[in-house]
Amino acid sequence: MSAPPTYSLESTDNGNFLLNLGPQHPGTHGVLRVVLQMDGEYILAADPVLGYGHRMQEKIAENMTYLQALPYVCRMDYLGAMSYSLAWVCAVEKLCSFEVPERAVHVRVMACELNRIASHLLWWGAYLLDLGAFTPFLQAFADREQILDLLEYITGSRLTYCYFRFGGLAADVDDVFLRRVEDFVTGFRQRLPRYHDLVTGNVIFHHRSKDVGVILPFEAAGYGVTGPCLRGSGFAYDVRKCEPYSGYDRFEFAVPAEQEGDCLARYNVRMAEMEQSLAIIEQAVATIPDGPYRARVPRVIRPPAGEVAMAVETPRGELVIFMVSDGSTRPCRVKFRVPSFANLSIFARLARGQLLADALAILGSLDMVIPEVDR
Amino acid sequence: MNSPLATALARIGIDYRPRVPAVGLRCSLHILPEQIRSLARSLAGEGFFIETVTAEDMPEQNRMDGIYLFNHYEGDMRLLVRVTVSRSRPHLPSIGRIFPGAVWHERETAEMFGITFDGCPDSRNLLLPEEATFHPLRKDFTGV
Amino acid sequence: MSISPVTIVCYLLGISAVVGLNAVILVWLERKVAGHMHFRYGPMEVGPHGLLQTLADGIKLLGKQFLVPDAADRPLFLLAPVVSLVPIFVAMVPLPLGETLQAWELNIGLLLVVALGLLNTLGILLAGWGSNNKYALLGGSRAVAQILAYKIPLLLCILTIIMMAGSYSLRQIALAQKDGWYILYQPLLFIIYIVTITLETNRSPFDFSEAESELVAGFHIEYSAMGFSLFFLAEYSYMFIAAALASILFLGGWQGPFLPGPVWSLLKLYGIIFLLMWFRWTFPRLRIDQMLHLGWKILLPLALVNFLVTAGVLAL
Repeated sequence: MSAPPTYSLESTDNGNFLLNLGPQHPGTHGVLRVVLQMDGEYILAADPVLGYGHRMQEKIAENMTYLQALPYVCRMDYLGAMSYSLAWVCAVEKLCSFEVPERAVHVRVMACELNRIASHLLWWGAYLLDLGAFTPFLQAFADREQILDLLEYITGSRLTYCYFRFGGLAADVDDVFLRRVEDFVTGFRQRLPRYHDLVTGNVIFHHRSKDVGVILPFEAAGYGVTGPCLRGSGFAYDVRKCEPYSGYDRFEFAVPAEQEGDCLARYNVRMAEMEQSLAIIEQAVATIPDGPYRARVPRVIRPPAGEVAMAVETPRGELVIFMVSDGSTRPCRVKFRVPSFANLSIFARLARGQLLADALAILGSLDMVIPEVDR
Repeated sequence: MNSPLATALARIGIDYRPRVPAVGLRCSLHILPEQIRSLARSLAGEGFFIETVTAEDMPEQNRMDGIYLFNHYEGDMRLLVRVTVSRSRPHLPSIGRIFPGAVWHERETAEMFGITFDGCPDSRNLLLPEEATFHPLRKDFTGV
Repeated sequence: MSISPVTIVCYLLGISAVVGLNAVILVWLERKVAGHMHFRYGPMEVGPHGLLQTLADGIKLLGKQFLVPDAADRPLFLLAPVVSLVPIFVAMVPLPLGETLQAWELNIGLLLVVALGLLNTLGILLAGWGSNNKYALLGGSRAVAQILAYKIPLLLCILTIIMMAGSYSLRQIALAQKDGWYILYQPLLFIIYIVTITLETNRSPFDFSEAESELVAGFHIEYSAMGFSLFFLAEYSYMFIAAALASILFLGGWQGPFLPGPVWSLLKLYGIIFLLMWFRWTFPRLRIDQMLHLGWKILLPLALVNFLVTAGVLAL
């Protein structure tokens, strides 16, 4: 039996050719492969080929107890692991109707927002790297390093955190951590303008990102685009505001949105989001109460039969964990609706008719994490 | 209540009954496979976006459910749609021409559960190897 | 004037030393400049402040296997790095780096250097075509589009200087600036010239034929070991020549107070190279069509107007 072709495109005789972008390519940020039909430097059609990092996370989760599956969930989006574990524990807490102590809620929000800033910083550097500027990458890493140190201090890990537990946290935070977070917020507030000085005002950067890769509002709905990519197209849709979870309704923050829908708008949205995250962290640190950090929950989690959809705003967009429980210790069905998957599905549409260089800039501006897409 | 969800459902003659328990779903429907396209068209007209298409395998009841999640950018209008199909020859109409983003979700559901989406513009495997013919998310799948 | 074989051998040895040493120093300098701009140190392990790092890398590259892809056009593939490197040995002949430090005074020295500079692009095109790789081919074709866009403004810059100095000889041009460097009279021209040599040396923001994030490595994607290092050597030597030309055309060459001539030459030359490195580690890359726009619609008219105005002023 001959295998069916892996791509739907064909090179024709009139000078078109196929270009295989990836799965090993510095511009695809991981093992993404895109088959491009090119006319010179122009892209006629693009066909993303996924699955190089596929691990069948949903089946794994169905074969594990709720607690056992928790560390796996964090390994999908390795840049926004906090949001993923938050979604998982919140989904189970919703099913079981567990209460979470106030102190844990505050620490959860703090950790998620720190993680969001770290993720946006890495995106910032990597996007500029896609545009050919190397220096911002390392500048961003210098600041990201501080966040990783902070999170390492409370979680013990630097990337794929597994810190939240059903009903609270794995361990309490101390005053040293809170003081260090405060110091970080003050310091990072001062450093953010430097990022704008270095990049935001740059003429070449504007030429490369303005009017490139415009996502029109009606297209966004058709493809299910969420997160900063959507907010760059004029919708102020943020799960933290629309369906507040884990106490986000207690904090004051704005949802930045831009109208243009191009790469520059997505850039501006992410930069503004970092400032909002700082504001949330600041409030969380200021209002954190004393008390227990974990509620008393049964040792064996056995949720009642039922279904739950837990939506969480990860750094990349809306994550929905749809979970069906049959009353046993293992979930009956788990679906991860991951933001990068939907955001990447619009890439073929955006890349059509663009120059190769622009297509890579668009790919970078969508900010996808390939293991999250492939799951 | 005049929410986009009520409008969209009323247009195709489905009663809007909001769900009370706080499980992240505003409304949950169980419809027939023939209704899914008109529902999708009506939802698209009201500005809903597609969250995901997936399925659930229930071998002990000898049934399989196609599952659709829709939501609205105005927020908190998540709609769960279940469509029961037969386990032996599962077929569902594709909504890939109404929501272009559904194509990838349908391709994934097709390879994972073996559900054929009629009229899907693209029927290749998405995440599994291109020659794979097994359906790993079926409950009776134990390994290749 | 006859040239003895001994002179030629001496010259070749001298130039090889300059090319080799220059590359060693520039690679080290580039990594140091990049490092310090990135909040890090750059190489620190081999030798004091990593000075011997490049040497160690060079030895490592010598020991590596040179692979020729099966599908490559073998003769072209092998020829390309040589075509890139060899013209440098000729182009350095008329460069005056001091009052007496010049291999051979040629009355058309400037033209020779500029003409030989073109061969670098030929090397890139040969590599792009001979590798039989789509990324390499895209890189090669970009280099050709690029040369058309920058070479004409570059030549207009040089023509203006020739007009002012009244000579094609690099030595005469430098001597004509005894009383005032041309950068004082022609600041705009100097800026145009710096932009065009950034284009000529294929450096960011104009590194289209390599374009790491788009074309992986562009024209030299298939080259390993010595093939790769020859391209590297050529790139840094062209930087040396372009910067030397800039210092001679605009900054008075070796002339300056207190210090001996060659020291002044090297100071100016490496100052300009530092400028190029600074660009590279600061700016994002332009898009190829934006670069063509810059070359044809901005640099060319500016250089042309500047040329005509200078001609008018000189005629009066």
